[in-house]
Amino acid sequence: MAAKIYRRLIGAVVFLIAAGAHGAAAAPVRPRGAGPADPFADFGPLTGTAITLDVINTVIVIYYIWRIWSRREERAAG
Amino acid sequence: MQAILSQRRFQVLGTAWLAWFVNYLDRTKTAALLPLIIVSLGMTTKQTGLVLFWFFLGYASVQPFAGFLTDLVGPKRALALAVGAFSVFTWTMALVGNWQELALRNLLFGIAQGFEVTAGARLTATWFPVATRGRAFAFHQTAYTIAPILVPFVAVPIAQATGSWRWSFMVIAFFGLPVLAAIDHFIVDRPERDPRVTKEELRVIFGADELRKKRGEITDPARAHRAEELPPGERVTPYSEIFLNRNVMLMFLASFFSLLASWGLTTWLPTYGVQQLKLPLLVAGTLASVVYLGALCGVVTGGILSDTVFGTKRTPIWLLGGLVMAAAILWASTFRQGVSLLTAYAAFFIAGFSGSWAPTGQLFAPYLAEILTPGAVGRSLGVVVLGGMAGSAVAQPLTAALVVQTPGGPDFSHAFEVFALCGVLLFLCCVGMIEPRVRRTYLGYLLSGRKEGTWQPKSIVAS
Repeated sequence: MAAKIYRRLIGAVVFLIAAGAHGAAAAPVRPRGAGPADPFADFGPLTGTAITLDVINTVIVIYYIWRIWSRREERAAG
Repeated sequence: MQAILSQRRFQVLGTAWLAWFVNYLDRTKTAALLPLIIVSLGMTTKQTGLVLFWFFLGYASVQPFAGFLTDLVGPKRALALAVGAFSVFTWTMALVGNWQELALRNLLFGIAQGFEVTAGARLTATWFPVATRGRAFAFHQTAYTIAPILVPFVAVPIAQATGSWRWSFMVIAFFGLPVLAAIDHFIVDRPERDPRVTKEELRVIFGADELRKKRGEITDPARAHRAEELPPGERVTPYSEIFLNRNVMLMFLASFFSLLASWGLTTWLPTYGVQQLKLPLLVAGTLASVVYLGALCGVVTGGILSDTVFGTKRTPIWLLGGLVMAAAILWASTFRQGVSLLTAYAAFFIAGFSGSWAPTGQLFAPYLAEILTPGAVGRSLGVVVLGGMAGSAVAQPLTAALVVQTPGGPDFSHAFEVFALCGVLLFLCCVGMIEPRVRRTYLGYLLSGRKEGTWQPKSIVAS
């Protein structure tokens, strides 16, 4: 009786492994670097870091553009 | 070396080069990462083509405005605006979720990038004297050949190390910040307005006579009425002379044919290598790299030859470039499966080398500064680049339509023949251009036994 149960259990495990492998093989293989289409899913736990970097980048850009545009070039003394 | 680096005109040129380099690194990284983006966003070939097309549309449509803005607010501000804008649009592209969002942001990215070339070209034209302007601008133009060679080694490893192409965009967005700092520190619109420039350097740039005669404050040559109102190195050039100008129109056409052939060739070469020559993908990809390597050598030698061997004449380089490019591509059109790789490399190297000897490849800033005036380079170059970008946009669908499906696989011969024809048409456009150094067309000068002509700018004739 016990042997019969073990055989059925082993059979079920083999079936599950085979079904899982079949599913994985059917799914399209993504090359490394091609994440999901949703950017937040792609960034995952680093989403906050990405947004912080974007804000820092934009603030520095605005600072330099303001600095460069607000200056007026005068004729040099020489 | 220290003596060169301490001179202001070389610092300005170095900064303009850096801005142009980062511009090209930023724009070509999208192409390098495209295989990953296509999988990530699930794009079809048609959608991919549209995403690329929208970049060119943005870049081309902004050219006339970019030229005006450069001349109106000065190249320093225009350059800073371009670098700042494309740095911001680069990171926004990392946050797209479908191809429509990518296409829209690529359009905005193209608009932002379009403001850079007119500013960089005007700075070189203003800061360098005629005698060395060709070489200086050749150095500036090496940026657009080096960046595409390096970009796969920058963008792809970041994507593979982090597991997402989006991080490449995030990291490359930061490349613009040191450029902005350099623009802020090193660039001044005009040499005579720079407190750090020495009198000796000003004499080298303008000549003692020009410095003594002209001390005007009107920087727009279209607004001045007398030469004395202008700063040194400039002459009165009304709008009619800038836009109703046969040479600018011929440059517009030459640029159209030149970039149609160049972009058509480089974009489709890897596909041609795989499908027609039956090369492995990696080897086929190197065909395009060879074209860029040829362009790098061509840009450097063209500038040196123009300044030295041809005595600051610009059009002979373009005349030679058009014909040699046509011959090299016609030769390549005969290649079939089994052609020696060395032969293919030689043909495409020559095509890249001579393709860079074109009015959008090099010498355009010196030529426009000499046929018009340095202060009008922005506006006139806007017209010329518009022609080139129209050619780039047409190149993609035209090439696709010219590829013939045969039982042995796709045949690119007809597409290559059209590229070769573009080389001949580019040559014919340059035949009609005035060479300011000899006051007539260069072929007219040669056929007349090297006699100088009588051409003069309209404004000088009128006064």
